[in-house]
Amino acid sequence: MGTAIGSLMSMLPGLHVYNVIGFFLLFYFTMGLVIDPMLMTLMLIGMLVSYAFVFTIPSIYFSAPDDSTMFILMPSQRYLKERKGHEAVVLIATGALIGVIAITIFVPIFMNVLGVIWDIAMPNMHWIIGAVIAFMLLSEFPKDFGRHKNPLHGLKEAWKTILAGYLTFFLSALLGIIVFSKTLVPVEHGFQSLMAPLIGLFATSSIILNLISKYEIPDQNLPKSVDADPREIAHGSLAGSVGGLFAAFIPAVTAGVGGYMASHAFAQKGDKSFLVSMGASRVVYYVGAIALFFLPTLHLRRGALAMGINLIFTPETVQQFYLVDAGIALAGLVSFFVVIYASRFLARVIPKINAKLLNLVVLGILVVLVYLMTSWQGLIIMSVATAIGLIPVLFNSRRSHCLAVILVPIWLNMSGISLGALLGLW
Amino acid sequence: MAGLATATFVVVIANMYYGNNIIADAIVQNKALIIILGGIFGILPDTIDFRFAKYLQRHDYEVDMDEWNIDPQKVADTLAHAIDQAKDEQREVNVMLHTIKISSDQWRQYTVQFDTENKKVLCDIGPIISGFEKRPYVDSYLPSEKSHGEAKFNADLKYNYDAVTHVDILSGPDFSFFPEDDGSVRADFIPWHRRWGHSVTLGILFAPIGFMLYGFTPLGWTAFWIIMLGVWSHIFTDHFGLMGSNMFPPFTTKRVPGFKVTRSMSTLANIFANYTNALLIIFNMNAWSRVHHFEMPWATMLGISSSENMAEWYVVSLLNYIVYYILPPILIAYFAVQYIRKRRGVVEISDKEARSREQLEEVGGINV
Repeated sequence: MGTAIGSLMSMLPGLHVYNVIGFFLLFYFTMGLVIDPMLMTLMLIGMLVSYAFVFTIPSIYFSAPDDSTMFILMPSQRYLKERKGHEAVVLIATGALIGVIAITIFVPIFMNVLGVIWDIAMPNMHWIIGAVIAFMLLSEFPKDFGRHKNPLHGLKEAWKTILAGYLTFFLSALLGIIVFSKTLVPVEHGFQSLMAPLIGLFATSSIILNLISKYEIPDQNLPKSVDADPREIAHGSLAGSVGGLFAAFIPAVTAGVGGYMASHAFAQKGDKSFLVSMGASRVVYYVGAIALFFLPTLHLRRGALAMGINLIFTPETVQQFYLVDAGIALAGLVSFFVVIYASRFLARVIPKINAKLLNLVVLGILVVLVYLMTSWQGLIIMSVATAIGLIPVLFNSRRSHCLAVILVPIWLNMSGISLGALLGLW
Repeated sequence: MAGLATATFVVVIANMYYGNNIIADAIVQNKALIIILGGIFGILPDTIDFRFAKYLQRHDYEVDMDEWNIDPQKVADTLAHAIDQAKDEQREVNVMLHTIKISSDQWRQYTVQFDTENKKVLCDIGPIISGFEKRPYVDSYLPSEKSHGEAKFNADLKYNYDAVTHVDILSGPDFSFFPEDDGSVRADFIPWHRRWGHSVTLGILFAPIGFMLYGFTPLGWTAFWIIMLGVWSHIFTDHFGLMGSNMFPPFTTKRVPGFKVTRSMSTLANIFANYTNALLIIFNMNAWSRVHHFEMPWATMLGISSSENMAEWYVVSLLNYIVYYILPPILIAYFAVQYIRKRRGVVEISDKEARSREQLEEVGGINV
């Protein structure tokens, strides 16, 4: 049931599973006496697993920016433009399936090792997250074509995108410090205080870009095979899984950042390998976080779902871990086929779908969702976050800088620095 | 990653030198961020090259074509002229070859080759290609009479990279031509890369920042060594490839060739370098922890305890750790690759070819 609900919901562009689990938790709090908490937990996990797979559909078919807004097309966008959207979906879904297999097999095998690594790393987490931030800030290289009047002009052109990235990072960090330090939304919905900034930074800014972009989705081909080299699939899966696991393990690091770091570490090359790694890193990040939460040697709370589940359920036994592990495997398998068949269907009908109208509807849903969960205060936070989220989109810098909204406050907190108090936010 | 691993070694050694676990306690208990300096200064050489040095490079000539103005002869003529000018005027001459961009995802590819034996520069216009995979559009080739140009030069050219240079996506490559003492001209590909930004000198210059941050305290000295060795770790890691770096500018001007062990963009080399670094960081964090979360059997067998003789315990445990956890996967992968290559009959490429590929990958890889 969780997989079915999650699959349907994940088809909508910009809607994140973390944004709706709050509703399901509120529903459970009123119906708690008649629903077994383990059943509810498994349903929520099913929703998360299906989201990690099915999110591929809107990310490929409903976000096709035009040449005037994009400096370089991402491989997924390029595939859609070249009528190979379905091929991209299959590659991402393959990576995701391998990611699920990796989690269900390797997490139990390396249960004790992961426990030891966590014990060693935990007291050092402040500098590990700090190193991730340093990497994010120092590893973005200028995107330019080398045409400059003189060295000064060259530096100015080169640093445009980098400075836009730094501005995004700084503003996101400031927003994060404010949100983490002071509950701006109604206290009864305080557990959803990150909802508005995250929707603004990542979802509504993307939807606005989709709405202002001029693009036409061409008819899509439905090939019988994706013609990928096994080495490309293996390389992409390994890089994605390692990046996803790193992100699941380290607080505040997400699949995007983990995947990016892994692509550097694994010297990744080629679109197919990149697409496979995208799928693997997302699944390992989201689903791996749940596996680590139930892991008897760890019980690590990572991500909104683990924190949400922890409100209704406390994992205790090895049996519960294996039950969840089996649930993840089953939900992953079902989600894989859902993605493939949904993509086959969409590839046929996509030119007939009014993607802009769909984006508009989702924007409306998100606004209503934020208002219901966080009131008008949330809408104001979302608007501010949307403006920040548009900076990297418009200046072609990395969107991952927006993650400073959670990275910086958590890093400061772990480093024993209370900037919130310094700013008078107590 | 190499910078961070190096920093953890410095912390372990500083801990032993100053005693009382003071550096580790500053990190674990007082949340000092000193180790990040290793990461920052470890990545800095590439940051300097690709954010600054690239843009400070002046060009005497720039070849800038567009899809409606394609002239391979102009490319060949410009390069040949620059080579001779370097010799005649006894000065460095720089040439920039711009890419031909068609859309956000399409470029027209062209190639440049220096035929040092026949003293000719050859330029060939290729197909329109798509994205980073550089897939060619088969119907986009130009007729042969419009796609080839060549020009003769008179100087003796020293060019170590005999493969064809592809000019395709993002920003194009540049060449520097230097007059040599023996009357010949030396050609350098992307001359701003792996020069002063990748030098031993730079590490020494940056190291005093440690004192600026922490004063002349144990932490300040530790930061000093972390910064210096962090920069050097990058240069040392790069040196396992072929391209090498200019080690001691301004006293030296040429890159010292690398150890030729691997290529900078080799997948396996990168995986195992990072695997080794990650495992060493975990080992060092465990070593400086007041409670060790794992012990290596060799130290236990030899009756060496960390509380009695930390240095001895550390060295024996580290050796044991390397033999048990780091070397086996690397050796297995190495012999597996050798076996597969032998079975498939993969021909080893020449040093020149490998060096040329590495340089092209450096340009493409880092820009992505």
